[in-house]
Amino acid sequence: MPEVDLAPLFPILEEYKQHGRTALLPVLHAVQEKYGYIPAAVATNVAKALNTPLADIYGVIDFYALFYRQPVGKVVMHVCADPVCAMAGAEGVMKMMASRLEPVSPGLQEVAAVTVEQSPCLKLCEMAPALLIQGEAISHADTQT
Amino acid sequence: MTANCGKDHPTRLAEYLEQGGYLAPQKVLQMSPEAVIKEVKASSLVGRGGASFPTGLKLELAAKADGQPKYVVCNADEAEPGTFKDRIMLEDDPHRVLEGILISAYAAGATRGFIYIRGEYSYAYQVVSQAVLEALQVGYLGQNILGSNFSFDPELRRGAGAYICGEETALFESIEGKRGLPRVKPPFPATSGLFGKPTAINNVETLANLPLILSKGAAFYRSIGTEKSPCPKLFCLSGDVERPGLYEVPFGVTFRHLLYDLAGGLRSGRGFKAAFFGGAAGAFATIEHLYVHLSFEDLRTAGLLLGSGVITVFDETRDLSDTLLRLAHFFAEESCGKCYPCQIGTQRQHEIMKRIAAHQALPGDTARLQELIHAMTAASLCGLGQTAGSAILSAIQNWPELFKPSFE
Amino acid sequence: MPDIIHLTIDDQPVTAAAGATILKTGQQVDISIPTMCFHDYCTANALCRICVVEVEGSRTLVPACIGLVSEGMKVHT
Repeated sequence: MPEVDLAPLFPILEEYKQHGRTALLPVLHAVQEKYGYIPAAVATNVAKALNTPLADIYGVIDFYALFYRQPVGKVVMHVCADPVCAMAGAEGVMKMMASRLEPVSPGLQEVAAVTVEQSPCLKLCEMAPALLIQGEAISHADTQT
Repeated sequence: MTANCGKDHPTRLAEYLEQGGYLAPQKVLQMSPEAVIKEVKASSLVGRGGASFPTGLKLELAAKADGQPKYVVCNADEAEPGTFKDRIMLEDDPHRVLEGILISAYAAGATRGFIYIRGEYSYAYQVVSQAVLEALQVGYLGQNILGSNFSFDPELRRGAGAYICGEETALFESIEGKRGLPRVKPPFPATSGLFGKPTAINNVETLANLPLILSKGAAFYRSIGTEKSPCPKLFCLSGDVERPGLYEVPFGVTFRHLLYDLAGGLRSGRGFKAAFFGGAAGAFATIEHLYVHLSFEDLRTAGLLLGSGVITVFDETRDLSDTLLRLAHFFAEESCGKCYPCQIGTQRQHEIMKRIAAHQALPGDTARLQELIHAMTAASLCGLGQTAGSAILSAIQNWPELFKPSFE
Repeated sequence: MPDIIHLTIDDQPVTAAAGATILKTGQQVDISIPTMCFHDYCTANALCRICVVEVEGSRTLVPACIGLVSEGMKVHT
């Protein structure tokens, strides 16, 4: 298990801990952005700082699709899988991405370069098919882009 | 309402003021909260998130409820497949929404407020954050707004990828730092909402209507649209149309007008097969519905749903069973799991749809689907389960042959 | 003096004190409504939906374990 540097975590906790549990989602967002996922050591510290049981912290992490327990790729791409984008060709984009990227076996120390996931509707339907790359919207996506 | 949209950049404060923005708060702060509520009631504005609850009444119930502090919330967790109107409003005209939430806070007697924006909308979040800062700098938000003794500074919160958090009580749970599991209603948010306090929660589009109502008056507002459905409405057109996008029309225009005159008809001149009205939880319109007027009362008579204003168009080449499969998958994924009818119902619905989409329907599948959908609709804890099967039920009515085994 | 509520369950007239649930009221007259997640001392009721009953005029089925009786209510199990 790689050592996790907790130094970046402390300023985040300082800012939010006075609010208690209601600050949980903002804290997890900040952690996700800093670390790329929610490491176990971080989760434990968050639980203490916000005075919330660790089980509840994990309940929240697992419930919400944008929080990850395991390291994900440096670049995360969400490809919309809902009807409008599918009609416009999102499946093709998804298949192309999956075939281009080399599979990474679990347990490897290095983080994969890219993670591609299917996502529910991204609300870019008027510009289908749509992707989110690291949170930035890409629309009218085709195999070229 | 969409006067400031579609310009390829968010409308900054200066531009918004030039267009006549923030006139309503100046009037509102001179009125009593009761008078503001009266005006909103007179306008007949109903919620634009899909449930269509009368907004004036909602504000009144919160204003009259016991408990401090009171909250107002802007529900920007837009996640219904096919809808993007809130995204566009937030990105292109954030100040209109801020003006709306300010008015709602004053009316409800709320001193605190939240704007809950879907996690995937990072750009909208940045734009709205910026707009809040601009408004604070000039005094349209913050302490003693425009020299009155009303103070209001909404806090922004981000969702994290859960459709169910668009349900009002699940949204409260999320702000409170918990999993987004809906609460049993009653009690209702107006009396017991965020942190157990009286809360008035409204959709982005609903709030965006308030500045117009309060600056120009309810009478003007009612002059647009029909008698029972006054006012303008935002429709999200997507799918096989020539010009997909956001359309603002007065209630009462025909579907045909929206589809052909405004949106350019079907792409590549193909034939019209069906249109899906209402969002994932909606109903299918077929060619006979082309001349239906788009209003609450006319759509209801036609057996269709307005919902949040989503219209997805399918041309004659489309395989609807694939669409239905994706919708079933969507609901099975997004079901929170708190109550059995929805947790299990959406799974079974998905399983059966997988068979049907693969042309491997079993005898009796149609009856199975109908029964489980009725159970979900009648017994689920919240709107997700109650509407998870509506699309498929509508499809069974219109195209029963899709659901039959191939040998029948 | 608590308010007395008059209602019917399965067409049987019943009286109950204001604030009583449909479930408890049914038990008083030997009408048994099945429950699974209900517990007198727990707050998280109305989850399993096994106890849902039809109340005339209501849009959806109502969980009997937390549903309060009201004057003139017509319940069908």
